Amino acid sequence: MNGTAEPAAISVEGLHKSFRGVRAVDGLDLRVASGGVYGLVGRNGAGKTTALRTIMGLLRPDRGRAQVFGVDLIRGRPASRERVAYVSQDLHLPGWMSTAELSRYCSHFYCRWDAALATDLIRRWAIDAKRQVALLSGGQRRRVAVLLALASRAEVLVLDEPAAGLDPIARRALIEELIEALARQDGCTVIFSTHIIADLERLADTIGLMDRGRLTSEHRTEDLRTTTKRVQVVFPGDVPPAGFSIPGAIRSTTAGAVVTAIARLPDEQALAQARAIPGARVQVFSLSLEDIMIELIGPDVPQDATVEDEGVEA
Amino acid sequence: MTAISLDGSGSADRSAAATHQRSIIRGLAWREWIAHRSLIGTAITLWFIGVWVIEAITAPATVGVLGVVLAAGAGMAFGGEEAREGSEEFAFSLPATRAQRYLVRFAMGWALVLALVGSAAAAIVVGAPQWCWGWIVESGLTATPASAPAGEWRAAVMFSAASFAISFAIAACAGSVNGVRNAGTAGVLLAIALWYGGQLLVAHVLIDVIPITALPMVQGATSLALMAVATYIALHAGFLIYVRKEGVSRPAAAGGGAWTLWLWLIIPLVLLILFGLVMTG
Repeated sequence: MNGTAEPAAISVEGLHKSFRGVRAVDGLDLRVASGGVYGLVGRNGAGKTTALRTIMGLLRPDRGRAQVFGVDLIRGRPASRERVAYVSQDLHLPGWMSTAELSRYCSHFYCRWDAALATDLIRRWAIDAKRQVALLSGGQRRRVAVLLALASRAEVLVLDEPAAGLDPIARRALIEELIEALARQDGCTVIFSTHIIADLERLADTIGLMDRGRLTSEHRTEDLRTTTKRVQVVFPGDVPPAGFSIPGAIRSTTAGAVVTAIARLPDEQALAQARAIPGARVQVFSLSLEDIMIELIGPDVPQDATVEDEGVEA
Repeated sequence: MTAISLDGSGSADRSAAATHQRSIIRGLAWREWIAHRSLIGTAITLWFIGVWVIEAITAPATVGVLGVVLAAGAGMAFGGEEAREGSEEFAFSLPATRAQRYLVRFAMGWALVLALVGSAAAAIVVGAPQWCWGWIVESGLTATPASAPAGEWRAAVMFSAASFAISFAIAACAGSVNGVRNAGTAGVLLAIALWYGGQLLVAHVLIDVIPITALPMVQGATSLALMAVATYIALHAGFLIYVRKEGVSRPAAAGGGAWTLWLWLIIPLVLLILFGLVMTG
């Protein structure tokens, strides 16, 4: 948890949501400070989409609450809902509408609708504004959805895998646009889910890891990148000394006299004790964020929280 | 203690909020218009031609049957369009409340059905098409206005209104594409059941306390009252369910079950037969 005293733009407390007895979100607690960019990661079925849909007020929680600026959106009035925009993972936009019609339709709902930005993005992203959305490519449809969210000038953006399904070039372009748009919309709070670590690295200032419907850990992106290392300690004998553990270890394995761990090391001093053991050889390796994420998410185990029932994906 | 705004900002806020509400309602209405403009245009054209040009729609039974078919189609279209196309998640993520969505869509569909059926009934009863044609063609042949009892016209309008309301409520609450597709059929069947329910209720329960000459009138009034109550209950229950509906996208409609098509062919025929039986006593 952030543990900051800043007012939370998004706050989720003890959230539970099940689908026909299968728990998709199981006691989720989460807090996104105003102006923060929060990335949710986790395996398929970890509960990311359900969590975002519940924050948006699309799903009704079984227990707990999800609030944006202190309001449950499912009960919120249009004035509070207007402060939030959403891009869904499934992209089921009204396919019979053209982008121009969709843009006009959405403009009625947002007082701060930025028609100039919508027109500009349509031009820059080469979207055929008069073509029915159903006839656009998947990438173009995704751009239309992001365009609508950005043009709303909402204070909070909830993005469920905003760049999924795009080719690398289109994805990079979309993320660039998103970063640029966020810079323009000063103070905009974003929560997004993704499986693409590069997007997480570029966009998120905080990363939350979800597993089986819960937030298992939360990290500042920069801290995670600079302080998470792979540490290997090789001892002279056959086994490590009794009770030895690598400080700050998140995950640790022992093979003979070799102890390997993914550890959070605020500085090299943390390993001073290990280095002081006679004959012990301590090696520290840097990790990419993707390596760190894979280590944090953990080994592939069967997911019992996966819900893919009637179009509902946890 | 209530804070009093000295600079008038409170009233400005209220005014801005009211403007925003109106904008939302306009947006929802505009969406319904562009989504259903071909249905609305086709229905208005056909009714105009049927009632005013070729004067094929002249009896309460014809108005009732066509009104019910229109009502079932409009009920599904206005009530379940977003569920059918799988865009409820997007729709519910917009700032309009579910209550606003339900009421705007109901008002537009209800207005279409009542305007067409009601205006046709009124025009036929006063002989307006004949009167209008008299200004253009002076043939010397004039037809007298339709002389069906007022109760039959009321039944035609009520059948259409009830079929629309029930179809709309079911379609709006449907969680699947098939649910939306069958809402029209269900609405029409329920309206028929309510009509005959009223007839049977009077015939079996009140037969001993009502003079035999007043029986048809009481039966008609009971059926109409039952349909009116059921319409209110369906709309109210539909509203309560819809405002609690969860916004989850489902795959859009792709082809329909053959049995649904058969029902659509059978229902107008059944209605025609039943109306014929009622009209002939």
